[in-house]
Amino acid sequence: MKTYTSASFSTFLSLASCLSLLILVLLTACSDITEEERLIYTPPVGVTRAVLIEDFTGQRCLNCPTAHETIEKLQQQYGADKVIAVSIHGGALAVNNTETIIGLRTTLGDNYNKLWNIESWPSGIINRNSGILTNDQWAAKVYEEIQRPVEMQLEVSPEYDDSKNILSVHVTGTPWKEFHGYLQVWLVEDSIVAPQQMPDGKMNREYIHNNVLRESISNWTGDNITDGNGHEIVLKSMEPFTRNYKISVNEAYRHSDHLAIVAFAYDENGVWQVVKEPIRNHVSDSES
Amino acid sequence: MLLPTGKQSDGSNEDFRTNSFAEVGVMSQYVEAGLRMEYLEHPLPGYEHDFAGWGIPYYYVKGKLKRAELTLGTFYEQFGSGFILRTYEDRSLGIDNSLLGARLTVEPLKGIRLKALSGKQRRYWTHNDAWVSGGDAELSIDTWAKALQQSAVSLTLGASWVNKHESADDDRIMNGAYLLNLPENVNAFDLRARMQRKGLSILGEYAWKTQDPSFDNGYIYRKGHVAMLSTSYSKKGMSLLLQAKRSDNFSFRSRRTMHGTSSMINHLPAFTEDHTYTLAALYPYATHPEGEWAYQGQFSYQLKRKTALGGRYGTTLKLNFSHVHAIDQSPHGMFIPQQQTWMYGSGTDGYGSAFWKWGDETYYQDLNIQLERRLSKSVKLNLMYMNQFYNKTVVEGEGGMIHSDIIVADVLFNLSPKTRLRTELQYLATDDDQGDWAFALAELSLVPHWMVTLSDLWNCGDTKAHYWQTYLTYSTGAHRLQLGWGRTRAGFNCSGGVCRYIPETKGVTLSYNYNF
Repeated sequence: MKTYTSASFSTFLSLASCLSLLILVLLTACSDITEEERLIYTPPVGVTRAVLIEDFTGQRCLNCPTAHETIEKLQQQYGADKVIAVSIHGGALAVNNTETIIGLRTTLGDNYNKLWNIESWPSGIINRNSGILTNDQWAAKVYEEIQRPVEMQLEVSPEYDDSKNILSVHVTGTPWKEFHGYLQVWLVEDSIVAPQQMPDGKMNREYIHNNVLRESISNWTGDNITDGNGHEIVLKSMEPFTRNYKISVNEAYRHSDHLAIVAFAYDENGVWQVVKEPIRNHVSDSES
Repeated sequence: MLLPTGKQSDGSNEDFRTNSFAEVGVMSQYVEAGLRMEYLEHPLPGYEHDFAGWGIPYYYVKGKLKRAELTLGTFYEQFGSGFILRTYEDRSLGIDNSLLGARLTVEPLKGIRLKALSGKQRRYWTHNDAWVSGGDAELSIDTWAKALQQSAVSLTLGASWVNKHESADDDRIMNGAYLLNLPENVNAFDLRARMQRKGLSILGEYAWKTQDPSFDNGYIYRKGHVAMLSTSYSKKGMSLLLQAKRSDNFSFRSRRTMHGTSSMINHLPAFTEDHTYTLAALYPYATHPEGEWAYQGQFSYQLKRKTALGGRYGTTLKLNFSHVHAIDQSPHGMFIPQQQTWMYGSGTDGYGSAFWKWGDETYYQDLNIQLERRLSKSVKLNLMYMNQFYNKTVVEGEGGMIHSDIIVADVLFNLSPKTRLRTELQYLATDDDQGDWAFALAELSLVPHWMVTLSDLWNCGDTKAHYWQTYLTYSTGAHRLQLGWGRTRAGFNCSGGVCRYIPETKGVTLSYNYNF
């Protein structure tokens, strides 16, 4: 029967120690990235199109203000007409509106959370082709999307008759290649003062919420592009389309000066174009 | 299985939900093999969306020859205390982070055990792209040192290494005008020493990790560290445990952009007691991945029977104190010469942290005293008082600090040789969160097969809601069948510092276990 001596154990231990130390030093040294190597400068790019950020958020989400800051920085960098964000309040961390609390949660927001399987907040979807991203991934995706060639020209013209509370929205679009997709039209509101949980855990009751999704003017999953007879069609390159909508605005916010229309066209590959148009420049009073 | 009744709080309309598992294995002298089928297509509420699915995610074959063992397929493994590698399964938490690959275990000499492994980590019904590889060595020094043997001292030294190789091509993180150069290799190391002599045991362990920018740490390049010292002493009638741990930036995942409960390569134990009483477990602590100081002391003493204090049958006293605190963190920026500005956050080292210094926040504190005493041949009493501080903002994201006092009375009556009745009364008093809670339970056991349980959890503070439950359990041999009906409160299910949020549910539950 073979016996093991202390000598053989000591030899083994010495060899193992030296080998381990060598491996340790090599692995640690190879892994480190110095400060000079960490950052890769990305040159400014030509902004050719607008990008949509769907920001899934909630007033009880303490990390969501950080995501809102990310949106603001991107809008400062590229222009607020090129980075168009819509903040969708829904899910477990959103707050219902009550008599005592201004809550921004909507059934529509809850439905979008379920549709995209949002399980944590903040989360975002960029141009409907990114998958669900955390807010630290948004900048890189926006950088990538904003350089892509324009695929569609899209214009939206709202008209609001204050006396009758009728909001008319006229959308025109011209795809630059064949398009078979949907048109989504939303009503959003900026500058809403309402509570928001902050990263330090405290509640800021005077927080200014922007880009808040109020309601969907089109079908909540978008409208098919149709011909004059209501038949779904595939648009050829440079074939224009129009859609007209008429709604009454919810009494709770119809007098707001910060309402806007966000309209975008998308298919299974993502958003082709997105535009945002404030309503306050298009208010009339038919009875005056 | 759950047959929900009424509207479900997670918004689904599923009228049948089940988490079902069937596992089978065979073994001989040289070969062992096994597989597990899982049906989670309509899972119980509260699991992540990707949890749903079905198939055979676990399968392995193991060959054993003399002092070597080779496993091919899916396996679970832990190095040391799990600071750099712990893959395990916990069905109630929905955790299964097993590795699919190969593992070799060798004992080249007596008292030496070596392991090497490599594989991809399971995330629900897929495997993350990163390769996780590692090695572990444990030396039982007392096997060789006669002096230690003669002193009845056991001394074990251990060293481990784990590497994660994850491509950075698809992960694009920017800070301002800069894209981060993400490391594709993250290495973690662990050193440990355990000494045992009679009733005394001392364990010291230190682990560190190279740069690992990830979602968990805000994509900073600070290295991670964990240090732990644990001492326990026990003799007849008494035991003592004292331990302290400091962790700093030590979340370690196989996908850097992941969050939630999946894809963890390592496990940092919470130095807080896992409570089994309902109200004591109402606010369970989850280990804070960014870093924490954690301390725990446990003392147990048996008062002898037939003494004034111990009573006729003896009395056991247990005292536990746990405290978890933030570590010091001072923001560290990085100067960008091209822009002549300072950058903070992602891409920088993030923060500096003095080792011995605390941060500003208490995360958790728990002082509890338990008394176990048999009052007569047929009556046994457990009493507990607990004072708890729970930082709900840190653990759950909102809610502030919750300070509560909890009392529990648990009485077991042996009504006859085949009939046992256990009753519990609990009360939690707090001015915070939803206010006071009360809990009552009665459990009748008709040995050997039947058990009936009735309970009610009542929020007598804020909502006045009752969460009642009834269970009927039948056990025979290897079979156990349980039928239940009731309403469960939304909350967290935690084990070992890892928690899962469970939404409120109401309905009929059916559970069946068969072991063979």
